[in-house]
Amino acid sequence: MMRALALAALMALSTPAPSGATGTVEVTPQDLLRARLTEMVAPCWAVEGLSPSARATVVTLAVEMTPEGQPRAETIRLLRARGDRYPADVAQAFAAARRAVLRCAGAGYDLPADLHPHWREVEMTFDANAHVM
Amino acid sequence: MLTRRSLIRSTAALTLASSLPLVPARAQTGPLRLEITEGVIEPLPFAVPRFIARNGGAADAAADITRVIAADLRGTGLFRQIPESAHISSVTAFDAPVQYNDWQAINAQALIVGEVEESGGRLIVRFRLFDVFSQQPLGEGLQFVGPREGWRRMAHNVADQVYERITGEGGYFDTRVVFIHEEGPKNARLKRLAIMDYDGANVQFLTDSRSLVLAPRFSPTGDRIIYTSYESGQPRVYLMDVATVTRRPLEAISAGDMSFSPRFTPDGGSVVFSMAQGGNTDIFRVSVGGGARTQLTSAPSIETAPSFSPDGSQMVFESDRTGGQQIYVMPAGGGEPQRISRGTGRYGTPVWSPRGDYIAFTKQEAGRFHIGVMRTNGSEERLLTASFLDEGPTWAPNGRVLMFTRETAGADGAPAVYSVDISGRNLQRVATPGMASDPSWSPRLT
Repeated sequence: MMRALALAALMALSTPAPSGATGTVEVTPQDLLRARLTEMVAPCWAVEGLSPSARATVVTLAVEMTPEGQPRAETIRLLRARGDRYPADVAQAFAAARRAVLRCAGAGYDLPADLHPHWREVEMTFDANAHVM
Repeated sequence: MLTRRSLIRSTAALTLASSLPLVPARAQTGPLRLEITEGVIEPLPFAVPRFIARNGGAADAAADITRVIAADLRGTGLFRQIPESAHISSVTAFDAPVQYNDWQAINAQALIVGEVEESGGRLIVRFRLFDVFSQQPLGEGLQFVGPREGWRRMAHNVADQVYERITGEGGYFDTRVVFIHEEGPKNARLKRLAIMDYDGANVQFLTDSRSLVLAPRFSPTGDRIIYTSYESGQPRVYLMDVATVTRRPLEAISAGDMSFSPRFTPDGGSVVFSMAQGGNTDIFRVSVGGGARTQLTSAPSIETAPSFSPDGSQMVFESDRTGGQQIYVMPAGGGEPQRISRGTGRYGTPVWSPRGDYIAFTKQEAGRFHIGVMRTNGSEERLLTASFLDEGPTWAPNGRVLMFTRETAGADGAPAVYSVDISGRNLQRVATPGMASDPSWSPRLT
């Protein structure tokens, strides 16, 4: 029964949906992994304490993950930043993003181990512009 | 029909898809890339175990300093203290390795560890700050040394450092506020100039209650205060030295003229103020050291409440030149004012943010008063408060928090000082020994 449900879900994911001018809809497992990880990291990204200019700074970090879903803290690095890009703002925005990744990991992010090659390396962009005062 | 949005939000779908060996995942061509745009608006949890007393004489100070640091951080609304009763680890030595797992287990994101030592009547306060989930220090350890009676300032200095390292902007705890202390019934109110720490501690009276005093403002260096006093029988601007509590009139004025609503220029060398002469009020500028005054506005209307941009190039003020009271910006040396307030209602008491990005103001509309902020061109107006009477905002030196006066309605109505974050959150009453109004926030003292 579960297998039949799973197969149906998979078919739903991989079957192009009919559409008009907007083209086809295709959702890949990478899309789902992306959504899942976003859901799990976002609750730990505390933007309240950041200065307005740090909130306006968009940072992208890279992190390597263990098969158990643990971010390797020593691999977290800042890839790029955009926005006002004052060094202090970038440092604060990066620190908050880094804390979010590490804090929400808990005993490891709940991601499918068989897909680990797809999430072993992750790049996360943190854009708090929706929160800018 | 399934939409892409609903699908990618479905955790259940991921679980099902990933349980199959035949998941048609694309070949791995690089890292998984994702974008997070929605964080959480919640205070950052921190732990501050009681600072260690290095010797017996430091025990009380260690407890007091820890308490003030925690209160400073909690008071911002940006931090949430994890009570000591929830701590798993106890810190027994300042340099002991941090048991990060114990602090992670109680969800502390920041850990503040410190010690206090008394030596020859002086206190030495040392602290370290740790990012618990990164398992690393946040900046270097620091120490402050000062007289025993200066323990509150040392606590504020530690809190300022913590705030700065976590938020990336300057703290505002080692600051003072000058305000008007009020006593007596509403129809016979006595007013005195007073000064206190930003959190209401260490109140000191600067004048007696024989003369009405109004609108005190700090100099950019925090060592002088400019205010309006009726001690000569007419409103007149006075200058006071905070350390010696000595005062003098800013300048001579003619009988029948009134000077009021003063504010320092950003370099502290001059004062701008309103002068009422012959039924008309304009804005003037005069050097603190004396000399001729310069008239900056010239209109048959009331121009008052001037405030400079931090770089000193522009001035914002209120005027009723178009009928209702509105806010205008003009070059600091005078020139054509541009109206920037465009909403309905009346606007007044504009104050330029120390960061230069916003102008705070009082707004009166439909029988209610508000404290609000707008960009310096008048855009993005946001009202932060609403009440029977809110007025007279003053900025914290980091441009993130405002204090203002709130007065309650009725014959027993009384003024009090409140603070609010520029997001509109964290509205708090500031502790004062009695009724208080017209606060002015000092710059950082260190």
